[in-house]
Amino acid sequence: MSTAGLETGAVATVEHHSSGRFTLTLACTGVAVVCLLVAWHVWVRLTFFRGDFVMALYTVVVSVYVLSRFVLAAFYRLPEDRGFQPTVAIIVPAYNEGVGVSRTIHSCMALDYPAEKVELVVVNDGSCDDTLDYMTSAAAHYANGRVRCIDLGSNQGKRAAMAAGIRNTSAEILVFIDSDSTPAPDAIGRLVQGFAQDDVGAISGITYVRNAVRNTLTRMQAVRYVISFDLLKRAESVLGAVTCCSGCFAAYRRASVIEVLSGWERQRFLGVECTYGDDRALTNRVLRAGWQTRYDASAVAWTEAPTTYRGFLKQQARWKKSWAREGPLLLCHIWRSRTRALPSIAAQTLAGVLSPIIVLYMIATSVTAGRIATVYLIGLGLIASAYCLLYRMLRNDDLWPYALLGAVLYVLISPQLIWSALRIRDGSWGTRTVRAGGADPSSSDPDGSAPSIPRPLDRISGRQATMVGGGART
Amino acid sequence: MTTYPGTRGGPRRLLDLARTRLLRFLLGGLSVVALISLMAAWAKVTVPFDPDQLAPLDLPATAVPYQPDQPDHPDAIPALTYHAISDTERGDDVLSRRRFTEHLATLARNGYRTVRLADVERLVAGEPVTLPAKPLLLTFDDGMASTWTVVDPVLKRYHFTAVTFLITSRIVEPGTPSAYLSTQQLKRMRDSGRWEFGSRTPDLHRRLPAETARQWTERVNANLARSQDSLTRVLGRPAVAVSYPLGAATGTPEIPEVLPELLGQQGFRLAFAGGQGASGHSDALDPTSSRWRLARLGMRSTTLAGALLTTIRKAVPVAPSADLPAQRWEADHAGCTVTGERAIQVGVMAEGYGACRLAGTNTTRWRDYQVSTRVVGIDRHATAILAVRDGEGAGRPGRLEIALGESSLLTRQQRADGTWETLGSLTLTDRRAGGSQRPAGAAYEVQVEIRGAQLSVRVAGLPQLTSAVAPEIDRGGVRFAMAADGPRTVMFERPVLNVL
Repeated sequence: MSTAGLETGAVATVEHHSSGRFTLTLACTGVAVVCLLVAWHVWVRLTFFRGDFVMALYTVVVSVYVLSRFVLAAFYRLPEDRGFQPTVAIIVPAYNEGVGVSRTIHSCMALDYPAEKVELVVVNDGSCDDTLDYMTSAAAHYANGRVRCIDLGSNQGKRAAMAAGIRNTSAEILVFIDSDSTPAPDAIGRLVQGFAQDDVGAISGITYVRNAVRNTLTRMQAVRYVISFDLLKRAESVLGAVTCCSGCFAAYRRASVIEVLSGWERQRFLGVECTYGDDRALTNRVLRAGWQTRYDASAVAWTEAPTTYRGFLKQQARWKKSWAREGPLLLCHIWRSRTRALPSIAAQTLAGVLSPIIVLYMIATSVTAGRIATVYLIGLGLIASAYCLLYRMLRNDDLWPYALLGAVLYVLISPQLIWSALRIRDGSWGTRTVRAGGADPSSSDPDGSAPSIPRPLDRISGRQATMVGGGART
Repeated sequence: MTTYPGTRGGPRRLLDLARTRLLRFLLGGLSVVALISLMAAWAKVTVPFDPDQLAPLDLPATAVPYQPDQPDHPDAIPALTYHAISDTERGDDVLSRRRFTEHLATLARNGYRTVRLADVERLVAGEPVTLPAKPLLLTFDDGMASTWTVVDPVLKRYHFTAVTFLITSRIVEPGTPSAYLSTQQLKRMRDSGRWEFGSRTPDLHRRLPAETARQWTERVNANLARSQDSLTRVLGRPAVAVSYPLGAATGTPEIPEVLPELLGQQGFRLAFAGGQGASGHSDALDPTSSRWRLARLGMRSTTLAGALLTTIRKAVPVAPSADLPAQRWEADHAGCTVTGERAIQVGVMAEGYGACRLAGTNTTRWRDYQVSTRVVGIDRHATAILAVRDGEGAGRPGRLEIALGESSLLTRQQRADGTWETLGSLTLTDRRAGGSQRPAGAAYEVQVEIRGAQLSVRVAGLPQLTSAVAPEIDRGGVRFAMAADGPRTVMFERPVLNVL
């Protein structure tokens, strides 16, 4: 045992990627054992229904949900590479990006996809800085028509910018990339393969955290991203209903977007214009129109994660708001638009709603009655351990212990959902009003080639991405 | 020496590598240990608590005593109280499995048969009911889990039935670790047909501090209703019997009067008091028992199987018998023999008091009777004492004594609080014989009659001595005793008892 373990460890110090067969087997066995233990617990709970009803219901729902993620994810297959090459438009909305926008333009144009089949649509959403100048000068580097610059003239919001971009292209496939995201060179080529299947309306790529090693918070988020994509989205993809094709890096079929575009652009909720959760809202509408949504684990991009707890909590609040809005809307139609995903989505919604209540209840009872919820804590530990093992299976970069830490963090902040649901009509982003750097040249590769490992960064850059966690709650 | 791919920079770099490897190895190992502990903890909280029934212990024949003269009592039902049966728990009322099995084996071997609550109800209501020769009611208080795991298999083996009084608030859902019964176990018990269920509700017997009579009534009513509700929910029907917590309905004076009414309103028809210890006195249930105050015999961890038989015998009231010498007499600080001529002979070896008393005989039903005997052996140094309504066999204090000395006759009573009072006295000087005292060794014909509150003593040749007796001294048996200032013997010849 020790020899093999050490061997893997030694190689891993130098090369970051490969996991030894022994480690893989061990981690895989660990995940399987945890799953079996959880399944056994559910069986016992159902046979001997005990404890108070809400707690028992929560335990069963969450356990079944988490188990089903592992089981479904095991059935995930990558879309087959058939050499499918449709015309692609990359839509980049820009608002006060400064020099960052030219960096994005250069990196997108460096992507490995036939030049005649890809165009870049950059939309200036009424920036009050020199974004437009950087846009046009960067576009001038390329052949006429390859980079299309659109100026809205006034600030109309991200949705309006994206919609304007969509209306200004006739490409079959629309790729959305956040201004602080960097796709891998082959990412577009990979991402479009799934569209060879006619009923696929949207495909999400995987986004890693570029600034993972910056601090503990970014490490926890990096691990969380991997779990969100490579466990939760894989599972959702097997059912054909990925609930959020993330805004950082996802592709939509033009045909699926066009029919829902104006509704999406002008979406109002509780009498207020919707300014956040664009990606989840769009995926939701594509699903409702009867399309499948998929996930492609081989189409890779990197994005920036918030480095401060303040920024992190603001981002989480936005994601939770959009989850609180789009979750019920999704449940309203998923039973007919994609019936096979209904149990999964219902369990996800129920678990997501119960989770903050349970956390508050636990804290309250442990303080007032001195009662420690042993089952809950041990169960949380087990599931977090399964995430650790899974992460270790997928990535060999010493970040796996942060799955445990992250589980604690994400559980502790889950009551934020209640606050977010109460403030659901408040559309402010919390980042859009404040101009954050974004002009730091070291924050991305000028030549657009993807770094092979997350790379340290000195400072936060640009607007934060609107990737939604996909209900990844323990 | 191993070389690593990409290694540059010599020993220092190697040292860093080794340190990283060691750290990673430690962290990994620690995590594996933590994960395994988590899994073990998870298994522990998951395993459903569903203990199996334990097979009854096999006992050697010597552990099961047989008493051929154990009396039949087809008109009285002794009720036994058990609590938890366990080999691990400790407690005054916790019997070990072995001790408990000995108890039930002994009961079965000596011919006891269990009866149902319906039989008890008819018996105490004075309705005709056919009972076995040695009827018995087994009760198990509190509804402990051991009632299912230990008791039920033993009941099954000896074909007994039993009642369990459940603390309904302690009943748990199946699978929950608990010392008390689960709903699933209760249903299995009900379906076995061996069990009847009663209620045991806390804090009926006393008023809580700062509680008015009205609040007490409301609380008790609510408690009883809640208990009946949960029994109905679990077992399909409410209970007819209740067992008072902590023994009996006591506390403030009005509670014993009010409680039966409240119990009746909630559908209860029988109320059992907690068991007296095996050393104390408790009467078997018979038509004179109050349905709201049914006495039981409490079984203790120290109660041996033989003592159990004695306890039962002492609990069954015996009618007064005319043939006094045939009773079971027991010496009390004296020699006590029944001679061939049917005389009861009491002898002391030194200065003091000695007696023959009725051992293990329940004299609760001995009320109004007459005792005649001829006393021999009275002299200057020895006084004969004949006691009636000796409450010891009826489980209560109180006694009437007739002391006959050479020169005087004295009657006295011992009240419930233990104090003695002289009722009357006579001087035994034979006036007809010119004032001389009776010769030593003379015989005295004595007739004592106790009826209601009146005691009459007639000694041949003397006027009748009649005294009024305290009303609480209303039952009890006979005792033959003496007091002397040296070794002496007194004979009570051919004592006869007539029931009035």
